[in-house]
Amino acid sequence: MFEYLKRAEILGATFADIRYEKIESRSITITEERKYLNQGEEEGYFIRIIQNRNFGFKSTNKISNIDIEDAINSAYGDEKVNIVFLPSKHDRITIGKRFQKSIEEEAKDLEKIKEYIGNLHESIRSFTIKYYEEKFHKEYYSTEDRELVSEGNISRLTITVVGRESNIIAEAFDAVSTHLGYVLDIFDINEILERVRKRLTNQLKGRTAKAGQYQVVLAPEVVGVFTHEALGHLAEADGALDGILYKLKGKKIAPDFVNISDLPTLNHNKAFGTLIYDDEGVEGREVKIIENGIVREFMTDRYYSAYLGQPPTGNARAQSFRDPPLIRMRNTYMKPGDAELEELFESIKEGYYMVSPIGGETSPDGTFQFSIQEGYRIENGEIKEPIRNVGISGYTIETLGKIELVSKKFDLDTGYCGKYGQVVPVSDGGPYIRLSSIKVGGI
Amino acid sequence: MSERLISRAKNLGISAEIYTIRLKEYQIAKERTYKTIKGEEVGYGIRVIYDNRLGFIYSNNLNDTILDNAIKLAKLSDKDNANTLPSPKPLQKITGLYDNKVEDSEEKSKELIKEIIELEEKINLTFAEVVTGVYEVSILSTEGIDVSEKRSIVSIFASGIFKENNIVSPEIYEYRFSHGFHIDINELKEELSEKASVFSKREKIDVKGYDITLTQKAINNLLSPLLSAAVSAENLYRKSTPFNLNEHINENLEIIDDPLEPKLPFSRSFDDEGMPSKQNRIIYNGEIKTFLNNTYWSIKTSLENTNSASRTLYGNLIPSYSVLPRISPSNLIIKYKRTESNVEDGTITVDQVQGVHTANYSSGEFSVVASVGWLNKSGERIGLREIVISGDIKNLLKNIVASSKEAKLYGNIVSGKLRVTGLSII
Repeated sequence: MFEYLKRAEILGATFADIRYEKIESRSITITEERKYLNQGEEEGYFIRIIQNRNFGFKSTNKISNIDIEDAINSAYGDEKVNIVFLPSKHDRITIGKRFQKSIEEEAKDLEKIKEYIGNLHESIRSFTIKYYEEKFHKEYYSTEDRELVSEGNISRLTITVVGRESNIIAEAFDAVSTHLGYVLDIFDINEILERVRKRLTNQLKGRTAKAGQYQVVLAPEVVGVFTHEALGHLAEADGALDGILYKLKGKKIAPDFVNISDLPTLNHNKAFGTLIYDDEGVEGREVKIIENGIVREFMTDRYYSAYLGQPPTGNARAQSFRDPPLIRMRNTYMKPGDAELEELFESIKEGYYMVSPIGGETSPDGTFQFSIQEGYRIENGEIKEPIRNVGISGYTIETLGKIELVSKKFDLDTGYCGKYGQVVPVSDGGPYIRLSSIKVGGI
Repeated sequence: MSERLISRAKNLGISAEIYTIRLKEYQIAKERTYKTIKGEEVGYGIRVIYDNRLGFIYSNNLNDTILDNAIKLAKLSDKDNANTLPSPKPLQKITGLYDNKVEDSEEKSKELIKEIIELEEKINLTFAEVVTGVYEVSILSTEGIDVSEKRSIVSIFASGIFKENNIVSPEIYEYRFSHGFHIDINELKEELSEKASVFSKREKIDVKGYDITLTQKAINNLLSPLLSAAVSAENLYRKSTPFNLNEHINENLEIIDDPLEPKLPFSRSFDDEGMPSKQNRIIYNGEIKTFLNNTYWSIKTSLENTNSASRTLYGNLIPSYSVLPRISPSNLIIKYKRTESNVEDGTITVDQVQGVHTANYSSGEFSVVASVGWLNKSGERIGLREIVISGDIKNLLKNIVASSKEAKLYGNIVSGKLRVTGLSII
């Protein structure tokens, strides 16, 4: 690949890098009536050059000198590009653990899950069990003499069920993903099914929450979505500068015991956003977004590291060889505190306990919204009946200031994050937390 | 190679289909810096039916082993009589889906980006992007399907915020799609800067009890994805939709799926199984008349195939070779009989929502934040913050009471602004 980089330099590039990716994937889908299997393989190159302080890019399935010329010819802009340069490095790494499992064995495992779901709850009218597996091979080369090769795999199971009782249609899901091997070797399927059953029955028998402001306890899955959606996206440098967080750098916005970081690696079986080098060939490091309640730093790519004068963080990620790297999160979480779980509920007279979100979204002005698939009413410190069709919303900065207690107990959750049409694997999580007030919306 | 593989499949006595995408894209984006990307790709999706069992493989390269591997996957799948490939039907090619000016679009795209950047004088422009693509879809099958079509697409996106002292507005975005460069860039710029100016003051008021008016953008963001799921025959068969056939919804409402109008961005001569495109009346005379279908689900449901097979992933403009055909509408034309000149008066206008992906797509229930919304009071627009709208797709359609007189294309919908009563709003 270095011959192409040399060619780019001859043509006037002051910097060039090339990513090569090959992805082999397979998926098995089983529903109440269907079973079918897919397999895929795709590979390609992403070439990036800087010429006259402008970027130029080209993506292609097969590389040749013509593609290098195309990248050079596409360079355009206002001649303001400046990036962080790195020293020469050659490395080969493996993310997680390799495993060998035939598609026949995997299909049999899913058939067993289908049998369990058949007996999970009488209301179930349809369900989808989806297994996805990916083996990736990535190479990175730059004119800095960096040659970085990484390999690894993804194994993911998603279960969605739809139940119907009289006029109520309820939907519940659970998903687990890992780099550490075959997903059914890493996670207990009985626990996954029990979570799905509980969420479904709660949705069927749950009551609608009364809309208003309430004291709430958020479980790690919801805290994870909060740290990722409500705060994390505001701390991505490309959005932060125009958003509300950058001007708060160095300011205290939360109590001392609130610490939120984004890490490249984490010793946890759900650390699904793990990477050693990002898609700009940068070593990942911890980004302390909030330390002791104070806004500290932002996630960057090479460009924003130079722009902000901040050491590179390794947050540039691309969905595939077709896409330019964007600033993305990896494993984002709130660090645990010292409260016992029971303490969080004790003083709540009337409030809600939000256990599992369906997802969430945020805006650069700091508004966020999450829908909840598993939640309960709290009365006089006790967890009462389940609630359904409920969402929480608010302003991130105000909400961080309303954190009253943070538990010792901690967990992560896995998922995919979308930004500008690109989707990458991530994890997020945290402890259980208590908020003095948040807007709870019902239907 | 495609012909050879199809011929080989015929000799083996199996059904096979090769779906090919050849794509050339150019993208120019301006955030804090410029990014210009040229992209080229060829990809194949190979669907095989062996003994009524389905196998699917995708790849950037076609070779003999692909067919063997697809057969191997099919043998592991369940037997299902609905697993068949469609036979060819006569189709009429739509003209106007390909604009050869898009083939060489660099200079024009740069001009457009420059024009959008002029907005920086009025608002804090956070992102501007022009994406152009020319692509060819080809479908070849053992059943005799042999179709191909060249299409072009231009997408323009711009987002910005109003920022002054301690006021930061929500991020407001606008986007337009077309087969060519016939996009009114000034109209997009005006929309963006006008909406941003609404948020120079922003109030928190009690919004309970107000009717809401959904702009075309909000209809595309909120109603379009929920409706697409609710009128899918797959979801009807799998009891995952709140709708039933012939169910009364709203006597003044008509919704048509129209892939035949060349000016609309999601038009095509054939669907992603090679079946001829046709208009489908989804809601007519106020009732649900059609659930959208493809070959597989039309056999399952014993309902008409509306030729709505789609391989375009949600949020994308160009089909993907890496997925099996699903069911999706093309362009949705929404007509409401009762129109008003000042439909927004006295209502809360909702222009952008966030959190739609968190909705319950089986029941159609949603609870979303109206991140861009304003109150229309005595001719003035008052920017609002932190509004949550909750409801469900069925009641949303039932409770439409009026439409603005002028219809507009936004994303895949053509509609007036719709005034809706009775939604929970806090």
